[in-house]
Amino acid sequence: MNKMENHFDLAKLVQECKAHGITTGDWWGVREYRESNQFRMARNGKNGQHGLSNTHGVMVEVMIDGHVGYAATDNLSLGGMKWAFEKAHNGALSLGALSLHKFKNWESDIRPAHTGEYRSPMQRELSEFSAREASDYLMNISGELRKGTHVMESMAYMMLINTEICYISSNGSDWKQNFSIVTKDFSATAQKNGVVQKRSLGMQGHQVGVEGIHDFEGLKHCERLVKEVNELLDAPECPTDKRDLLLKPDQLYLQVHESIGHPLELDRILGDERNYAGWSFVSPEDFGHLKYGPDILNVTFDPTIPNEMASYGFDDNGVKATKEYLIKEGTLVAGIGGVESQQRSQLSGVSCARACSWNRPAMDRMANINIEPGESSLQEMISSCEKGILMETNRSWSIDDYRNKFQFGCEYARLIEDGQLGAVVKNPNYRGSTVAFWNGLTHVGNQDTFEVWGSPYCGKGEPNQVIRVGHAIPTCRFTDIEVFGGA
Amino acid sequence: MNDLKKQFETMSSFLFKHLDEGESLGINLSAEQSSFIRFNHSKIRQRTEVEQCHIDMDLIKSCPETKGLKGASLSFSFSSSTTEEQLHLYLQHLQKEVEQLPVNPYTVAHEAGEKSSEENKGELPPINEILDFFKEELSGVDLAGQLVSGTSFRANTNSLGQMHWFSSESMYLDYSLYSAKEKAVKGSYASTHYNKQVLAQSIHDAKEALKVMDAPTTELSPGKYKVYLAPAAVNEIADILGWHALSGSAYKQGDCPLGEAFEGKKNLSPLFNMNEDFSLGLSPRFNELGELAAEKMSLVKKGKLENLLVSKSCELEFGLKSNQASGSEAPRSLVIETGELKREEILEKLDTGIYLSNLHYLNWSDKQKGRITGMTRFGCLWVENGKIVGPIKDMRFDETLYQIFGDGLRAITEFSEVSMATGSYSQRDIGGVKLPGLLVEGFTFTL
Repeated sequence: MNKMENHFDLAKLVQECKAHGITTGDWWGVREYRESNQFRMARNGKNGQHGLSNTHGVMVEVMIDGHVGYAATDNLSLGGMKWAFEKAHNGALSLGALSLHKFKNWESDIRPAHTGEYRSPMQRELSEFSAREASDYLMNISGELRKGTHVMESMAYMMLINTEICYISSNGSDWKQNFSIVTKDFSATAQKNGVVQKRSLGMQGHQVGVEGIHDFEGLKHCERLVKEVNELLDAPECPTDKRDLLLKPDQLYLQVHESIGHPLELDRILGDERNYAGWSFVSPEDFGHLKYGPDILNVTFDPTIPNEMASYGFDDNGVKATKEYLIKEGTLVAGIGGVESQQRSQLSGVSCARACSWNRPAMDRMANINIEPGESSLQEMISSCEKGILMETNRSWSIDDYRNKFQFGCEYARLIEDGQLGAVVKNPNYRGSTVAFWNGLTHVGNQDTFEVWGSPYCGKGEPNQVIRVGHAIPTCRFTDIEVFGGA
Repeated sequence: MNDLKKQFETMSSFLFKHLDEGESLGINLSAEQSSFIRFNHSKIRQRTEVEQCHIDMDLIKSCPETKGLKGASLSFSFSSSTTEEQLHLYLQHLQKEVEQLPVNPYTVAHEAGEKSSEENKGELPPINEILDFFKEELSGVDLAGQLVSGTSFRANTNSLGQMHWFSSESMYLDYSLYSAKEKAVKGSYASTHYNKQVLAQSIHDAKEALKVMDAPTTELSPGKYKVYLAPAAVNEIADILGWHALSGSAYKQGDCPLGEAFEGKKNLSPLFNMNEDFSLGLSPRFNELGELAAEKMSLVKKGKLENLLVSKSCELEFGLKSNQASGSEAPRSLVIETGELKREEILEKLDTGIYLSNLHYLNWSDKQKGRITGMTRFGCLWVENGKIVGPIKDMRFDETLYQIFGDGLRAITEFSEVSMATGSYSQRDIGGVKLPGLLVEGFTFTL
């Protein structure tokens, strides 16, 4: 679809705005956001839903005396821009005594001028993957899954996303980013004697082109998923007790997301999210001191990993993105906060001010929040458990508004007895409290266990925003965790 | 957004004229002009004005060779600056897309449906007038939340002549207040007609409730407790019913948490009655196909799950009779009927237990058994012998819908509260619920 619309030129429109005296304020910035998303699905070997969605608009920011107003429109004419500049200007003016914070050093610290370009690593554009190719690919996979004994429902879907962001500001920013993202999931639901179980790939998302779809070889995963869903049908419930817990990356990434990522967001710590997503158990005094985990725990904000979902060159405040440690050798060292939150809190942060689309302002978001690989092999971790359990693939998640008390459910688990992988159990769940849980980390998996995962659905903010995040994670082992099964 | 209805009609007529033989086209519009003002510490964190319009075209083509249908959808941003050339390109792209796809046996054909129009005009002042009021009212108060005001639009038409239009002008303040000890209570004000006195009363009531929160915190052990779920807490549970609990398709795919109730293997409490009731007037009766749902349909009557929500697509694939549900088969205007518990008797009947003002972050912990987990949040109180002792330390619960709405349900309040949808992912949600409070015994807390 983008080829249909590429006559639009933000720089030209901004020039026209200047010529007509529309641009205003002590400073202004315009962020154009254009996204095309192909949603494709097949079920039970048959063609399913196909939807193409496109969105294209601009967010205008106007700063007056350290206060900023925002206005967004999809009317990309001079008239639309006039409306947006006026609204943003009036919004900035209206803040005055009601403004939470008057920003200082705006052009040097809050909206620094940058130029440049970022492009997802890819060889073939997603627009080259035709509707027919996509439907054949997904029908093959869902058909293969449906052939499994006891399988009553199979599904395969993918989203092919192309996002272009252009940013121009009055102090000289002029940068562009182009993201090519594929997310996918396949699943088989089986039923036997009244027991229903589901096994899925787990939602996967990466920055790739068409080559990433072919390299993945979707069909080769079907045999394992069918085998495992059938194992679950005959498996006993997960036991209810305390034991050592090994989490594969397809579950651990969500554990990191919920119990490290969110509580470290500076806007949560500052209270912006108290009415919606929640506050944080982390206080400003904890930075540099809080022992979040043992010395083997190293957590980074890393926008540089090729193919990870939220790699980028600039955040939406125009700040260049670099790799930074959030937790180093177990100690909390920096928060997930962009330049606005850094100035408000006087804490260290990262380039993470992001907006989900043209119609929302940027705020503190996770991007790629990763655990750096450690030294342990998977076999070493299993062998070290006298009584343990290995859980895979998230199916349920819940955590309190301070990010303390969590509960997760997984699709598939195997017991570990005396250092050996044993029986499969169904409906595996575990619960705990954040700092105690992470301080129970005993092993961090090595590079062989390290996998790049990501989710397109991280929700937060008022007005609400859902954004894509990446988590590159090794398998890890935790000690003395409360686990339990189904009702 | 002036003349949006006319623009929609003009655009639709243009697209319909360019359809080929054997094609039909459905078009949905969702649009808004909204002000979003975000507060922290009673000050404005961000102020954003948004005008947006989203068009979703659904093209269906008949295939004479296979006697089947195939289709796909395409959506795009639309404004007065969208040209006919662009519209034509979008349609051509969608036609090309559909041409490549195989037949989908569950494609729902467009029908020459009905016409409707509902325009709910409000009386909302310029938002700066409300902000001026805040300057006085919020002095000395720590408030976080969001003020939203504006007009939302929904419309549906198709090439066979169906046409529906819905617009609603409304505002809400969704907020929480915090004490110096970091205790919090939740408040909300929503209306189509701004009333400064009612808003002031809402904030006053929240301030009074906050005073109770400064009593010493009680830390409870995990276990089973008698609880009172206030309407806002019931709303969180009602929300998760939209995640497959009432879906006909989910039931047929073995993924419906209330499946055993639908099969009559389990019943809910005879006290419990739940309906899809569009007489609330907060959401349009038409779905994305333009089908008009009945104004009121019983879902649960005296504890028996009578109806699941069934879409036309579900009818085609699974043979359940459609009741004009949306494609997601989630409730759009849910009402739980009131009971006999008087407001002034709530604490007395609770006796010793937990007053749950709100819940947070619910999810299925055993979907097949209808079991959910979540957290307490905002103003949850320990009550002993019918008297409030003080706030509790947040706890995690893990309980089945069959216990909450069934075996454990002891009483339902004689009052209920209307809650306007406050979600705004991609755009302002429309719709709402009307829910009472519930007195429930044997509610399990785990952490």
